[in-house]
Amino acid sequence: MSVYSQAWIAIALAIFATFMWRFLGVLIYKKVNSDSLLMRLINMLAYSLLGSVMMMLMINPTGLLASSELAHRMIGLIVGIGLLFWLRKLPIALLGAISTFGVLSLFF
Amino acid sequence: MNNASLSPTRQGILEAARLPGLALAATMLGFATMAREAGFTFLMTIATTAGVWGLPGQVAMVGLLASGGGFIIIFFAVAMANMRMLLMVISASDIMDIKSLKMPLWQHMILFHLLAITGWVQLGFVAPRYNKKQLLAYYLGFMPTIFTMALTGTAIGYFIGDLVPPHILRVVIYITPLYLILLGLSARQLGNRLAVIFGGLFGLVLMPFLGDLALFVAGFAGGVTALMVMLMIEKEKAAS
Repeated sequence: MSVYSQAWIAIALAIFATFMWRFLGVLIYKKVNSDSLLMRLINMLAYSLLGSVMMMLMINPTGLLASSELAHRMIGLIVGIGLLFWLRKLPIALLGAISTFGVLSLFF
Repeated sequence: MNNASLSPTRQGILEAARLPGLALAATMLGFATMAREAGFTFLMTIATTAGVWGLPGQVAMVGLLASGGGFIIIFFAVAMANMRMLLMVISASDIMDIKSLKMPLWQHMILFHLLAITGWVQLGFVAPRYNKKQLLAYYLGFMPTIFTMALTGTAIGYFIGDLVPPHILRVVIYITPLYLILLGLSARQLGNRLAVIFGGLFGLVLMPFLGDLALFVAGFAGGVTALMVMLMIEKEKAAS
């Protein structure tokens, strides 16, 4: 099998592997009571998964980001979280974190 | 950010075209760079973003294919990386009260194909501002804009490696995980903020021991812990 065909099969599999979760969600969402404990758990699981997935991308990234220092990525994140809790302004926190990471990765 | 004179749909378009869209486009730029390195054609790269529309799964697929992973491994890795779609569809349908609409299955699928982390977190962020019907209108402005900007980012990213130095590109790629963590931590409800913190912390601790599996263990443990903490807080409040 050519590399070209392999790539297209992998793309089709990836599309299906993601589609099936969305489809299952559509099939079952009506059966879940929005005020129930289960719904609260589902919400918190989704937020928690967001935290763990993004932390994985921070700690163990692939591609170009992998060539940066872990310490630089984490210091940028800590600065962002600190600014967010201090000033309660998302754009400023984001700007602070990006600037910190940019300066660290460029000069250190 | 909120302009009261604009309809929710227009507000959604405008807000998507600012920070969220730019952050996501920046990350898709990074993904496209990776995909090109792995030997993907331009069409394959665009088809991946449009069809999968879930960055961790996209990255897992390209990374595994590049390292010689088999189709079964690719399928399960992408399925695990994008499992959160199930939870997000259930959660978003509740936030927008989709249940009350008489919508055929194919419309549901188009509506929720557009759903991704950025839009879902944004829905939670703007939920106090609108009623449920207005939230759907907001979503219909926000998500297609984000989707278009992500595709544009993918298209530009496929060729940008030739033009921009790597140290600048690296900063651009850094924006999305950072942005999504900070956006999650800005959630209105304390329980949701706690869930992001617990999920992230458990991920940090478990990653060296469990590898990619840590993602799911940490996600599950973080969500359950956040709920337990919230129930304890509510119980104490009720008792006092």
